[in-house]
Amino acid sequence: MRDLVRSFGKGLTSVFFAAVIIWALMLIILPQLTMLEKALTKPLRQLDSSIAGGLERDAADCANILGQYTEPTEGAISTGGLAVPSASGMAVPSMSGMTSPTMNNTVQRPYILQCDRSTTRRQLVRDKGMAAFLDQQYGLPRLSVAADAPIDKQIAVAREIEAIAAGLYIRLQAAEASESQLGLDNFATIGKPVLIPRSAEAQAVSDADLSSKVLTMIGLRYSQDGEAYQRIGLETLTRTLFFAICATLLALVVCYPIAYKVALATSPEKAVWLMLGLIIPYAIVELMRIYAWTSIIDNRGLINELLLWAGAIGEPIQFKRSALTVFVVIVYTYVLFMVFPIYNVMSTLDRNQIEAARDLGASTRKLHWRIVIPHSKPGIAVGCIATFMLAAGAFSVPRIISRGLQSEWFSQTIYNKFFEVNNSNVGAAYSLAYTVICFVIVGLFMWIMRTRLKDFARVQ
Amino acid sequence: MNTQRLLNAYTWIFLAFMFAPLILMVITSFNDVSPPSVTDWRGLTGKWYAFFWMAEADIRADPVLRSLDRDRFIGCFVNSLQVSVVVVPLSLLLGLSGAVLLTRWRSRANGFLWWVLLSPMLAPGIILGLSALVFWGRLGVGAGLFTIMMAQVTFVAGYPLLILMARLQRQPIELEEAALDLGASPFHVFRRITLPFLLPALLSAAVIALLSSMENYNTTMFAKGGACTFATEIGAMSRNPNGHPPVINAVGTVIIVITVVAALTHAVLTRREAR
Repeated sequence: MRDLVRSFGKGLTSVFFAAVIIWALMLIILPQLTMLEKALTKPLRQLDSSIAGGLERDAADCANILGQYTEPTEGAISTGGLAVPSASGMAVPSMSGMTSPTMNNTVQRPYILQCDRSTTRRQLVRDKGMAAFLDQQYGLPRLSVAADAPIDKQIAVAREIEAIAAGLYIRLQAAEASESQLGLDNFATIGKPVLIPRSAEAQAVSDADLSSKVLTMIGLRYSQDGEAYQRIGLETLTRTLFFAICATLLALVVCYPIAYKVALATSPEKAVWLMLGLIIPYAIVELMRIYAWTSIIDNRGLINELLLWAGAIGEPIQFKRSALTVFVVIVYTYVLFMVFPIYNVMSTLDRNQIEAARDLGASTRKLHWRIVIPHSKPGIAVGCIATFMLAAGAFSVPRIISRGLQSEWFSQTIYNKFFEVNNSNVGAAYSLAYTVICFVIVGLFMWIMRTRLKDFARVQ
Repeated sequence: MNTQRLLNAYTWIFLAFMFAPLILMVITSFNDVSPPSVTDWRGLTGKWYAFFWMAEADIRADPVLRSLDRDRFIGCFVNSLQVSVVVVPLSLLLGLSGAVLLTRWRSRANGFLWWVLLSPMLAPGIILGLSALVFWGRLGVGAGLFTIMMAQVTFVAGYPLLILMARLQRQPIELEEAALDLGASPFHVFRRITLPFLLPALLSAAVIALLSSMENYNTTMFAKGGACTFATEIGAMSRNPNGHPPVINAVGTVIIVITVVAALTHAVLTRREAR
């Protein structure tokens, strides 16, 4: 610290410290902690108070709609178009009275969704196998708006339910505010099995698939009582990591000879032009590199048209539906992130060492195994980490290439949790878990390769 | 030298693999058909480029261009510029501060600081966007250009950090010491000796920061809220059910041309300097 003040003065040193502290705290650490808090918080709509609030709104809507309906005309009954979507659309549908009341001759009103949902016997969100209802849990009278009662009676019941629910809502909210809502439930949803409704034939086709067999073997798919279950979240996560690791290995195998060629096997004058050939595709905007592939893999794209013309296929192959296409484009998009770190380290190797090894009779294999690879190990490690992280976090490639035509990448799952189903608590849990898993993999890899973080500065 | 020939052939194949999609992109941008195609040639056209300056009436007359919103596209591009105007200087400041502390500050916290400052470069981009969204949302700032800037700075600042560190490690410290001994104030030394020494590195860091801010898609998508940037708007065009309009290929061709020209100029300049 004293050294710093001596070389930069008090003013500059404090500016440097302030900037780094802001960067570390406001941009890195605190946001991640907020994510952690969000991930540990139960989703708001699953709380008992939210369900009581939903009931209050439904009952109020029901009473209001019925109020306009006190003077029924013949036409109004037959159209029955009074069902107004309730504001609490996400509430759990009521379990009672699901038989359509319009089938009944004694019915006094048309089908009104809100009135059907206005029942104190409303199910609460609990763990599997532990059903709980609002009336049992909080000792409410069991009330519901009967479709065959006289209209004014129905309104009275609805108003009564509304008042009870409103009181309960305030009580529960006060109670929930004072107790902590933290828990690991959101993280558990990653491994939750989901029932897949499939016909027997579709199931047989799916079972015959090799990937399905592997997934069944590691317990991500199973069937119970003739129904198929998949742990979709975990399955997507596994698939994404598997593809990311494959992409990294493939990129390493593809890039090592290129880096060697540019760094050591070309005269420096020629190497400048080769470097140019690598820098140009590297510097072009990532999205454009992805879009460039669409005219190749389209249903009427280059490959399909060529195959059709040659008569090899009768119908275009749906490349967009194949996960392999996404894999290839990911390799194309991120492969150069492997070349440059390896090149940077490799080019520091003294060419005389290679000459000496050759003169002493080393074979090409031995030359690489004993001299070039050990020397470029930090570059290989950094290249692998960069490529793996880019491939694992890829969002643009699957989004643009697949257009939702095939199974998701984990980054898309996270996106959907946040922005499509609006469940940011679960989304936060997913993204945190994903970060931790990726960092653990990278940490393990760095430990195996004996890489230190400082190598990043040396290599880039 | 059989292996040598094999290596040469392999290098050419690799370069062909890297360039073929880009060349196809250039070709399709001149083909008068949407979605872009190389096999279905309907004649040379420049209208995918002309889209950006042609008259409103001509756009409305064209069946493909009609569905595109040029003003929105340009607005998003302006947004991108606004974002990078904030992101680039900010990340240079943060990167410089981080580089100085990491190279000069001998302390036990140094290792920890390494991990913290480099972790955004290692983390998947989507997570940075999300955490910025959640964190600023918690503080009452809605998603928009501001959250995009914050999310981008988080990792963009890492590039100046690494570039400036490499340069700082090579700085001859004697020069600084001598100036201090001769009675220059530390600020004066920083302004007259350290900054000029860092200038080339600062410039290249600024260019890299600008490019990565402009092209960033993954992080921006998650932090953007209702706002849009150049990259997200281009990404959004892939959602077009009839395939994306060749206008994107025209934009891509322009980007390719700029990149090639810049890279060639850079190579020629460095060669001339070397001589």
